[in-house]
This record gives sequence, structure tokens and C-alpha cells, in this order.
Amino acid sequence: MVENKIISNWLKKKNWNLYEHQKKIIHDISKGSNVLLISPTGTGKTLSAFFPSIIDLSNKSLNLNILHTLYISPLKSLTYNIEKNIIDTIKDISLNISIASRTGDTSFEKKKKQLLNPPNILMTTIESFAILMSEKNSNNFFRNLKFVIIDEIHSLINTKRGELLTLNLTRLNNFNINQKILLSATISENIDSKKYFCSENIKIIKSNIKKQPVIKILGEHLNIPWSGHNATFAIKDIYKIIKKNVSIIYVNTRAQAELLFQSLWAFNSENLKIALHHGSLEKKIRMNVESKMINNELDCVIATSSLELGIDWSNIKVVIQIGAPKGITRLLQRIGRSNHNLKSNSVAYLVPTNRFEFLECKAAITAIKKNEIEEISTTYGSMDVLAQHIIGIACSSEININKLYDEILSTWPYRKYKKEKIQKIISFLENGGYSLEKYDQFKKLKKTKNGNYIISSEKFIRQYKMNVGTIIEGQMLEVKLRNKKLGKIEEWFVQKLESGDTFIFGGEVLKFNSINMNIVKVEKIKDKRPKIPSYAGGKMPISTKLADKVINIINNEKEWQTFPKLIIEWLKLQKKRSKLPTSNELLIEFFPYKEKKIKQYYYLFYTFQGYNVNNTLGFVLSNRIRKLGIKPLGFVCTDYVLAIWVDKEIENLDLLFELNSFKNSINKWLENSSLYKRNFNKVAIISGLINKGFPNQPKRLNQMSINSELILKVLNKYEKKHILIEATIEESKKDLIELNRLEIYLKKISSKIKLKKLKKPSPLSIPLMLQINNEVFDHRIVDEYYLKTFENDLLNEVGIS
Amino acid sequence: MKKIVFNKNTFFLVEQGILYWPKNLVLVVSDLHLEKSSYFAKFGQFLPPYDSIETLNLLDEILKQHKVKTVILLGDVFHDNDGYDRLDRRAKLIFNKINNKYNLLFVVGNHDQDINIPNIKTYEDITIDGINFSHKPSNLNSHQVFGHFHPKILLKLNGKRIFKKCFIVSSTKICMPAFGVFTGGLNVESDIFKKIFKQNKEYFLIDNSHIYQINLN
Repeated sequence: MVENKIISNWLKKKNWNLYEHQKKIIHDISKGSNVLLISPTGTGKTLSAFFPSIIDLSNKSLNLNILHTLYISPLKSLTYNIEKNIIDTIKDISLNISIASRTGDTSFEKKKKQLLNPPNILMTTIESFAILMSEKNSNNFFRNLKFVIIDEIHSLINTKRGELLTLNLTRLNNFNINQKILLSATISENIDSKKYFCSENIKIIKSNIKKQPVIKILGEHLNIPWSGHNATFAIKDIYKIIKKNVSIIYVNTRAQAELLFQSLWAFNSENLKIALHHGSLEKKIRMNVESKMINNELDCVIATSSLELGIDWSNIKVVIQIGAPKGITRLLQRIGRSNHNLKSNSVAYLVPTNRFEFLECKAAITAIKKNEIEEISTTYGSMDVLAQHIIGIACSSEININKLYDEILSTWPYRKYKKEKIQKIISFLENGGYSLEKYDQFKKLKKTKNGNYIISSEKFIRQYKMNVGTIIEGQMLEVKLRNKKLGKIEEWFVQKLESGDTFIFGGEVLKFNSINMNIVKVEKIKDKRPKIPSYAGGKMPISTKLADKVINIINNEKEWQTFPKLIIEWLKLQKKRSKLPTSNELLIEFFPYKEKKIKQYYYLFYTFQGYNVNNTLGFVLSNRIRKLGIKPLGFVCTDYVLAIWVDKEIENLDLLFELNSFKNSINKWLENSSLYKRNFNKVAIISGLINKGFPNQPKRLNQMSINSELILKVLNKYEKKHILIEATIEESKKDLIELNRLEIYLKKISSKIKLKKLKKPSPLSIPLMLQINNEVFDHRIVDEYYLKTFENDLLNEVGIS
Repeated sequence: MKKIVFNKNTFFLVEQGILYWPKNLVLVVSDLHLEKSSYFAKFGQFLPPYDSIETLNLLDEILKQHKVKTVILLGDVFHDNDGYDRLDRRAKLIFNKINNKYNLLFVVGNHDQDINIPNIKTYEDITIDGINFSHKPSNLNSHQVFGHFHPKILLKLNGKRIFKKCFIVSSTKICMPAFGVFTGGLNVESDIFKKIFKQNKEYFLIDNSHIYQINLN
């Protein structure tokens, strides 16, 4: 099969046989196809992506300074990992091929040398690739490029980083003809996942290796809590597993990671080596944990999504997922981290931290057994990313406007863009795009005699290179223990601390001393009751597919047989007292509930549409309720249910769900939401209105930096139709509110509302009733009625003891 | 408005962030940072070019509401020394109108130290009735009113964060909030303020329609 002698000899020497998918990839690439390889972790996926390059390079004996293959990964650490593996392989085959990596960490000198003398195989990240493309001679640099390998594509589709990559790939296609090799362990095989990074035809190769994971639910025999996100109830069981197996414990939030780390260490009688890994920790600390993992020096790592992608840690035996899986693909990705080889199946334990999560875990396991995963459908490309990209092109060469249109429209997420919109983005880049043309003298893009656009000054090229990228962190402050950097923490959390307060960070209890400029000075201390930083964001909604599955198992009593007794009783009681929610109608429960002798009325909407949709719905419904002359006292939601409580009974619920004016109401509250402000901040930074940094500009005091909220206020007043406002509205509708999902849902159920009037809270409502004081709608109103619900009181009321 | 007594004189702290001195018909306003937007535009950051007009309009409105003879601009009136030249026609009109109508005392700040505006005299500091007005605090023993630091106060109410501009007032010092619409702020709990205000101090938070006295302890 492998016609190349060197390779076939090497395989023989190693006594290796190629897998079917590895043979196929070599064959299809040799015929000139583009390839999407879908294959579980541990099936030699990345190595097989490099086989075609290695074969081609060994046939050609190419000059060592000609770039032949480009490998792009979503993670720096993954880049180094793959670089090392490929270098080892090539040494082993004794081939003369040059390999190097290029990331944000690569030294300036090394980067400069690479521009003149590129390696045969270059490993890089999305941002470093974007910067390479913005170099003046980039077309020359890439002229002999034959293969582009993109790893872990599922983690890039529908992200701003993915969009930036697609735009640069289209531009690369205009430099030369290259073949794409796309890799993913778990991705649906529909048109969007095929076309996103490759507009030409692409062949899908699926490995026939079935790695059916073994997934169990942990803590079933215990009393799974009614609500909350704490896994301490199952800590003994978790400890038992990590004692016997090297494991990764995945959690959903950084706060959860810190908490679990504390509880496990408090329980660590055998002194297991347990480490912590999350995105706020200092890079050095994270890299230290990663290298200890590779060297087999750890028993267990507690991690957030910061450790989801492909690093090869073959000794992991077990994966434990704490809390809701949120998505089937996401869970599979996490589970795939265990048994990173083919000999055995992945083993995973799910720990539901409340009863609804138990149902979600069950639903996910069923879906995985049936091989059902979420379909990808791509979203509309972001304007801010496009704006950044156009400056990138201008750094590299003159822009011909017609060529630019063609390029943008042939990029999958941007294929439906209108020319007028692109023109608007260009005038924004020229001089801000304001109707008051004040900035003519400061133009960033200039028109040449023949009507092309060029960058007006070298300083903007340096500025572009410093600010490239689409990941925007909130205002973060550096945590420093004497001179050691520990990581970064949200500014607003620090602002709450007073000198002497203690908090947990990176698994240590720290005492807050002072804050100076952007540095938080701390010292280590022993304290049993430290605060735990909660981090903004991180509220990932459940996928539609998984939510549907949850409703399915609730309505399929046969499935209940495998449930623990307490869950069965819970569901049975719900069926008897109220009704089980189904997917083709909206169940609304109504009941009065007395708090401090004040009678309030609760409405629970069992939508199962995810946190974001329920949150939006909560805002809109509250406003409508107010218009009916009823006071909404507050609302709270989860992925499954929305609860609104009011001071009077609502007579005609159908009025609330009138479709026509829904869009208007949503737009109105959107403009006042913090989400909108956050998105404007992101759009302003990515599009280059605000810079993260500027060469030769001194670091400024906090009060001198420019605040996006102030800009938004002035822009809203003077130029409401500005392109950045348009972009902000688009972004807000797209990523966080999931407006489409809400609209589709409302259409589906608007005439199928099932109201169940009850005398007291239903069994299914308990988790939410307990959570009710976590979020409040209007602080001034709720103050009067402030709710404090106690689990026992409530359970007594419902009649569950 | 909040009435305070400072160096035996009655002053009013006004919710829009200005200081009013009825006895002398003086109005003090600090840190306008006019043309901050066009300063940033030089670096390719095209902030909305409407900040000067918005800030000056606000000031014009406030001036109409009080009986004023003298206006003290307490430094950093412009974001940089060339700022005046970049004002657009409409903004220049308002600025000149204010200059013609009132006795305008232009105290320079670190941002507009060397500014040169036709028909406008600039001052390093001004002393009236024993009270010294300057952009930054000084080592003088007299009573002082200054700006420069853009003080803001952070409160947490019912889980909601509120970060608003404020005055800091002690028996001998007043630190003015920044007035310009594009000015950010520095938390009053920053170490810098500890060095300046050694004795007892009070905070007055402003939110355009109200002024609140806040006790942080």
C-alpha cells in the first residue's frame, strides 16, 4: 500500500501495520483530494495526517529551507507536543527534514530567521499564522506549500478564532494550490463541518475503530442533592477511584475546580499527588502540571476545559466528569482523554451534582450508546474579525476591492455577506466610518491612485501584530506571591476584598494584602473559611440535542428502571401531583407560596431550552407581566426551567406568548443588558477601535485607559447606526442569547401551553425553588420581599421528607 | 446638591461633578480631557468624535443653572497640548462662548501643560480667599482643591456592582471627580489616595441626578 520504500521499510522495522484510515489518507492525498479525518483519540490520527508530507518530502529531498507543510492547532501546548512527536518520528526514520514551531512564545530573532529560511514543516497557532499572512512577502513565503493540516477542528468551528482562520485560509488559497487535511475525534458529518475550512470538495475518512467508552454514573446509591453544583456528597467514591487509577477530573467552572481541589486534599489520607489546572492559573504553573502529567508524576488532575484538547497523556486510566455534561460531543471529547491508546476502551464516571443533572447524565450516556452527536450548523461570520483580517491583508499587500469581495464571499462563514456591509467595514477601518468626518488626517487605510487600499503607516503594522487575535479576557489582575506570579483573577472579585481577607486561588489559601496598579499582592496563610472567586462567563448552555434527550427519558418510564430509587420516586410523584413535561408542549406550573407571611405566586416554565434561552425569556416575560399591571418580583432559571414569581395571579397566560411583539421586546431589553455592553467591548477590541497594546506607548494608569462603556454611551447618542453598534447587536443575538433557538421554540409551543394549577410546589420545582435567591430581577423590588428558602421547609410543604 | 463648609466658606458639591462657591460666584470643573477621541485617532483608534461637544454641552447646561461669574477649569482641560486646534467648529463655538461670557481661569494640568490658546491665559494654580486651586495636590499648607486622579468609588449593593465618580473631601482638601465624558476613574481605595488624605475624609458619590454621602468604614 505504501509505495514509499523508506516508509515501508521503517514500518517493517517497527513491526507496525497501518490502520485502514491511515492507508486511506495516504491514498486519497496522493490522488489530490482534501481530507477530513474523523477518528477517536489514540488512533494515530495526527501522525497519519503527517504521513503524506513525510512521504512526499522523502521522495523529493526538498531543500531544507522550503516550506512544504503547515500544521495549525488551536493550542500552543499542543503545537509543541506534536512538534516533539514528529521530530522523534523523523529521526527514527532517519530522514532529512527540517521542522520548527512558531507561536507567540517564539523569540523575535527566531521568527525573523524563519521568515528568511522557513522549515519544511512548520507547526503554528491560528494567531501566529495570521501574523505570518500579514508579512509583506507572505505569498512568497508560502509559495511552495503543499499541505495544510488543521487539528481539532470541532473546537474551532463557530468561534471567532475559527473565523479568523477561515479568512486566512481563503487568502492562502490565492497564493498557491494546497491540500487540506482536517482532523477531529468527534464531529458530525454534515455540510457545515465539511465546508467550514475547505470550500473545495473534501473526502471524509472515518476510522473503523470503534472505541465504545464505558460510562458509569457515580454516587447513584447516595442522596444526590436537590440543587447546587457541589460534588462533596460523592467525595468518598471519587477518592476511591482516583486512588486506584490515574485520572483526570473535569469540572464545568473554575470555581468548581478550586472547591473540589480543596475537598479532595482535605480527604487525601494517602497523600495522592493531586494537581489543579484551569485557565486563570499562570502559564508556567499550568505547563508544570502538564509536564508532570506527561512524566507520569501525578495521580490526578482537576481541570476545566483548559485541558480538553489533544495533549497525549497516555497513562490516564479514568476520566471523571463532575456536573452536567452539557453536550454529547463535549462529553465524548472529555472521555476520550482516558486510555489514549487502542488496547482498551475509555472509562469514565459521571458525577451529577443535582437531580436534573442525573437525568442529563443518563440522557448523554444513552445518546453515546446510540452514536448520536450534535450536528454543527455554522453561524454568520463576525464583522469585528473581518475588520481585523482586512487590516492584516493591508499590512501585507495592496487591497483590490473586487478581489477582496471575492475572497470574503468564498469563505464559508462569510459567504452570505453583502458588499455594502464590507464597504462599511472598510470605511470604519479608513477613519472610523463616522458621519462627522473628522479623522481624515489620521486615516489608517489610504487609497492609491488606482483605487486600491494600502496601510498608511508602518506603525499600524506593528500595532496589528501586537493586537492580533480574538480572545478577549475581562479586566484581569495579576496575583503575585512575593515575586512569583500565580495567575490572573477578575478585577471585580479583588475589588470586593479588604486587606486581610482570605481566598482560594490555584489551590492555595491566600491572604489579600494590597493592590498596586494591576498587581494583587498576597501571602500564604492557613484559614478554614476562605472566599472562593467566582469567574464571569463560563455559563455554557445545554445543547438542544441533549435537552431533547433529557425530555425523552423523563417520558420513557422503561428507562426509569435503571434509575436509583430516589429519582424514580421524584418523577413518579411529579406525575401524580402535576405532570411530566413533554417536548411538544410547554408545561407551566402555577402555585402560591408564602414567604414571611407574604403570599406570592410562582410560575414555572419547563422549556428545557438551555440557560441562555430561559434567561432571555425571563427578562421578556417579566416586562410583559409588568405591562399587565402585575409586579414581577423576580426570576431564576436553569438549563431546564424558568421560574418567575409575581404578586398577583396572571389571568390570561396566552397574552404573554403573543409572537408578534416578541422581537421588539427582546431588542429593547437587549440594549440595556450587560451582555450588550460586554459584546461591545469585545467588538471594539477585536475590530481595533480599542487596542490591547501599542508599541512605544507607556503603560498608563487605570484612569487613563479608555473605557468601552463610555464610548458606547456617546456612540448610542450621536451615531446609533454605526457599524460597531450593528456588529454588537449581531454578536449579542448570536452567541449568548441564542435568539433563533428561542424564536423557533416559541413558534413551536405558542398555541400549546399547558397550565397546571397547583396548591403547593411540585416535586420537579424543588431544585429551582431552592436556588431562588441566587439571581434577582430587580433588586429594589425584591428587597422588600427578600426570599430565603430552606430546604426542609420546602420539602415539608411538598410532602417529601 | 450637598452643602459643605470648607475653610469657613460654604460650598456646594453638585451631582454632575462640579463644585459651586456661592460667595464668590465661582464654579470649579476638573479634567474635561477634551479631544481625547482625536488624540486616540492619531494612533488609529477612531473613537467617536463627539466627546468634546458632549462634554462642553453638559458644562454649558450646568452653567445656565447657577449664578456664575468665574469658571475655574482645573487642569487637563484638553487631553493634549494640540487639543484646542482639533476642536470642530461647533465645539469651538461653545468653548469660546463660555470664555466670553465668564471670567475663565484656565489652570493647566499634566496633559495640557504647554497649551497655547488665543486670548486665553493659563495658570499653574490660583489662590482665592486662602484656598489654593491646582490640578495636582501640592505641599502647600493652605486649603487645596485639585483634580487629576479621577476618583471613583466601588460599592456592592444587593449583589450589583456600582462604580461611580465621586468627590473626596477632608477638612483641608477636596479632590474633584473628572468631568469629561471619556474619562475613566481610579478606585478611591487605591494606595495613592491613602498618601494624600491622611486625616478623616468623606466620599460623595455622584450619578448625574443625585449625590450620596458614602461612608466606607
